[in-house]
Amino acid sequence: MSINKQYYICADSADLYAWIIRNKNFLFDRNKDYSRTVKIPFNNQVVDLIFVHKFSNRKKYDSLTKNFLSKTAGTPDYILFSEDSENPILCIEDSKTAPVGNSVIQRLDKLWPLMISTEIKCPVVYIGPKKGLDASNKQMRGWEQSWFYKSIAKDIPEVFRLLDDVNQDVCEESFLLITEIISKNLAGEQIQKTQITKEMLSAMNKSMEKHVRTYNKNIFSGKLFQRSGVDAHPAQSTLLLITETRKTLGLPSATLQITETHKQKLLKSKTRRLKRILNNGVNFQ
Amino acid sequence: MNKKITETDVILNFLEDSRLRLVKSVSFEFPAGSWTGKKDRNIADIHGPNIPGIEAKSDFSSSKRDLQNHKKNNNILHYIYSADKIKEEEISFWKENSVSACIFLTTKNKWAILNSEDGFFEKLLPLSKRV
Repeated sequence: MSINKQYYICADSADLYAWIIRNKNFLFDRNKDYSRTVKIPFNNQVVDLIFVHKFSNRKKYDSLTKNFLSKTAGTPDYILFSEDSENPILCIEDSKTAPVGNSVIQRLDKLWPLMISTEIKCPVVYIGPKKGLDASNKQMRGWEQSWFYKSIAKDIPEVFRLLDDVNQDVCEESFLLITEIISKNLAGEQIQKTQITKEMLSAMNKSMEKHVRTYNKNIFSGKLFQRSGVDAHPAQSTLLLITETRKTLGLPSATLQITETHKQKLLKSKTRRLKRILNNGVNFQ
Repeated sequence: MNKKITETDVILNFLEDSRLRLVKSVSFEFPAGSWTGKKDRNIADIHGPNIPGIEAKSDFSSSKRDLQNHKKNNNILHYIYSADKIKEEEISFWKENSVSACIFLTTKNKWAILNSEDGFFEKLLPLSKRV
């Protein structure tokens, strides 16, 4: 009996596995360690796609993803490995909702360091609807209105796979991309990441300075913590993008115009996002 | 198999074992990965147009807490969770509260149904998946 080639998909979300079980007629196994195997036919062979969900088997998830995730500040939804490689062959973050305004960059803290890193060789992809209902004013808004889309995302549609049809399922699109990458891997094709060039980054940094209210020249004045003291994720994510971009471009570190209390909280924080910001380098005014 | 499994695994096991009997329009709400925001309590973990909401928990004690917390529970009458074996306390608790429970027995890899008044879980889970 031939042994199927195995691929591991380390998942921070159970949505994709649930979508496959409900929408595809593949055989599946519930494994003793609570990983879950889906058997997918590819031409004349069957591939075992093994889902390792973060909250089901943390030990196995960490052992597979530790090195890769040390290069970013969050946990993307899906990281795909082939059985014969320690490095991933694909990384996906998907979202069912369309971001509005600056929230585009507030969602990229998981992906941006991976997207612009020259060390990371696998495709790093964001999948989500292009438009969505902005509940605050009950209007359709989305990526096309954001400066981030205009300055960079529209030029790299293979990195920002934005769905035109609001009814299109992001899980379906994620599954299509995963099978496309597996198919290439089976055929021995090189799977190349779209490299974001320094020219693109430089243009994006200028656009960021123009459009992000709390970022002027190299000074960032956003509030990194809420009044209650808890992390202000949007501001922190924005600062992470700024520091990652400036570091990659070889620009001087950003200067933080923040209160002493926030400075002390930042310096003492153990969260990955804030530690990464400090590692990237910041000055205090 | 572990004695107790996560809420996500309870939902996924239920989905796998009932998938042929569930209509496509039934939705599943997983405890999302990094999302720590407040869940809309008007939505049960499993819900759909033609089934009453099902709340999933990892074990009996969290199911019990959920049912007893009226701020959290939204008249949900069907719970699923995991256990290695069923205790007397569970049987009487669900009966006293007139709530149906479906327990994934980790030692048997099958489901046990308690206090089935409406035959709801029996309709969703084939015999081969039940003890």
